[in-house]
Amino acid sequence: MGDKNLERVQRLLSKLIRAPEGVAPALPELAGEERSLWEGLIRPHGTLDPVARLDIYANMYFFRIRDALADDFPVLRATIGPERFHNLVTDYLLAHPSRSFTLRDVGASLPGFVRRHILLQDWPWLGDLATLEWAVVEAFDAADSEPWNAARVATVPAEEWGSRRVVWHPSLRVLRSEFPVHGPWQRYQNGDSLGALSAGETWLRVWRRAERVFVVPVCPQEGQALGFGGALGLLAEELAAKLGEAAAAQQLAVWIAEWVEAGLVCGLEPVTCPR
Amino acid sequence: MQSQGREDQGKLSGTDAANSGGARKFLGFGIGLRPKHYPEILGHWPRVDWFEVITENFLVAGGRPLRVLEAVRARYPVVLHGVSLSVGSADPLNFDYLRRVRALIDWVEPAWVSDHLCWTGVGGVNLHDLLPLPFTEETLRYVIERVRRVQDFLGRQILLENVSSYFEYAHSTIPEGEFLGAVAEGADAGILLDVNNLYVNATNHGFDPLQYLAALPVERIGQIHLAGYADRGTFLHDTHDHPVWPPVWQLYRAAIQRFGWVSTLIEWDAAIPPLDEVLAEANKARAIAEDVLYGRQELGAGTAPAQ
Repeated sequence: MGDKNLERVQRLLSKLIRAPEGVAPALPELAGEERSLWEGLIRPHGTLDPVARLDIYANMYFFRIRDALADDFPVLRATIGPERFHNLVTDYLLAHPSRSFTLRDVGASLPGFVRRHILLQDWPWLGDLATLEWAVVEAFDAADSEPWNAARVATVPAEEWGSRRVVWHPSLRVLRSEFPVHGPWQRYQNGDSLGALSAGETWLRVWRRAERVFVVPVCPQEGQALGFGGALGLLAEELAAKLGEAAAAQQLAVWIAEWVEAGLVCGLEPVTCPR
Repeated sequence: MQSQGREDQGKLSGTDAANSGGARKFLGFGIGLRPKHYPEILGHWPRVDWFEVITENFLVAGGRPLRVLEAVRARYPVVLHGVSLSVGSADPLNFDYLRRVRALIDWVEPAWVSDHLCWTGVGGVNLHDLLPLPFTEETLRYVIERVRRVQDFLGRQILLENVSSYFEYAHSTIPEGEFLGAVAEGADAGILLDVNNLYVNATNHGFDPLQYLAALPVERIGQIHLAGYADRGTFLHDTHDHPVWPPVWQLYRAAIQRFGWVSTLIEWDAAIPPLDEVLAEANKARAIAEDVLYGRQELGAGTAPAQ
């Protein structure tokens, strides 16, 4: 673990920098060893006392992460306003201090946190909205993969389709929401006012094509089909149970054509164990 | 169109690069690669000596960041500059992070790799900031050993940057410049000298920046950073949101006089202006270096590097 004295010093400074009300209010709460460690730790110089000097770091800590989260959750911030967002981030960091080496990951737990937050009383769709915004973040820099075009898809023999499954683009996220949160998300992108939302089951597909992330609502059947990991033959059977065999085959053909056109299909791989 | 080819990878040599002009890699006067400038860079390939990229911004699986870096790397020399090494942390080194850095190095083939002489978190919690270390003999030994392990793992020498700071530890016993130089010597690492950070710290802590420069081993200086600070009244804040201020240019002049031709980079990370303004700052650095070193050459005291 290296230098123990260094560790005690750094743990104390980390604790003070992350104190939600700032450094000064946190000092009276320091216990014996921490208190003695703090006394005389920072060299007094000039007009700034040690507390003011450490507060510079405390402010940078909070504002840097708040601004990163504002970049990743702009619609959430616009929905609740900057002051509530500021307080939400304060609450969030107390529960979920960053444990990643990169600010890119700092919002990973925010959707789950928002779902348990009191803000949900006024904006019950807030958790779904945060989930959508995080899916957009993930899709933006998900792994690359070359989508198949229609000509390549057509090279798969017809008799093999039933035993193959779709290899989705790595950026694809399929979301099921209790609210149509793609509405405010899209209105925000267009610069329009966000408006209120009424409950309604919503399925969304989120993915990246080239360098652009798309959010598109789909029907529940397509949403479930996008999340289906098995062979297309089994998917056709499930659909047939709901729509009838002919309609299911037709629907599946339409979807596959759309998925290929959208750049979602990166392969049709054989399934050795269909189930 | 930028016409410089890729530089060969290599370590800083132990020779006096300031005077030899050949051992230390000299890329010229570059700028940080920032998303705001992507359209102009990718659309027009402006004349830029080299780019520095923030390592962590490209430790992602795919998408636009990697496509941009791939395109830029094909046309310009690129340097990787990390912010998450946390080489001075009491926590164990993060080898998952280092594995990803190593993979990026293999892909990008940067001219060199740098990070900061600081700690960024402890107890597994990341503060996402560059915090100062106590400058003691004990810390010195600890950091040297860690830098050596990092370099062994990455299979290459790294450059360590002096960070801006807003407090000093009362139990520090070694002047900052001597500490930085001793880490570089002890670990056989290079130094990325941030002249703005030096000026900020000299002002915030009341020391002589020229003495600091004099304490640094000339042959270890592999790169220089320049940036703008904000004057908060009671302290200088390293904000990277202004042009380089006159006293920092003055200090840069002194640094060039001591270290010779050193690859120099303009950092601008907030309130980022149009690309032309950032490039103008890089060209100002070029003009100062030429003024200092060609003037010195006329007096027979130095040679310009082959570019």
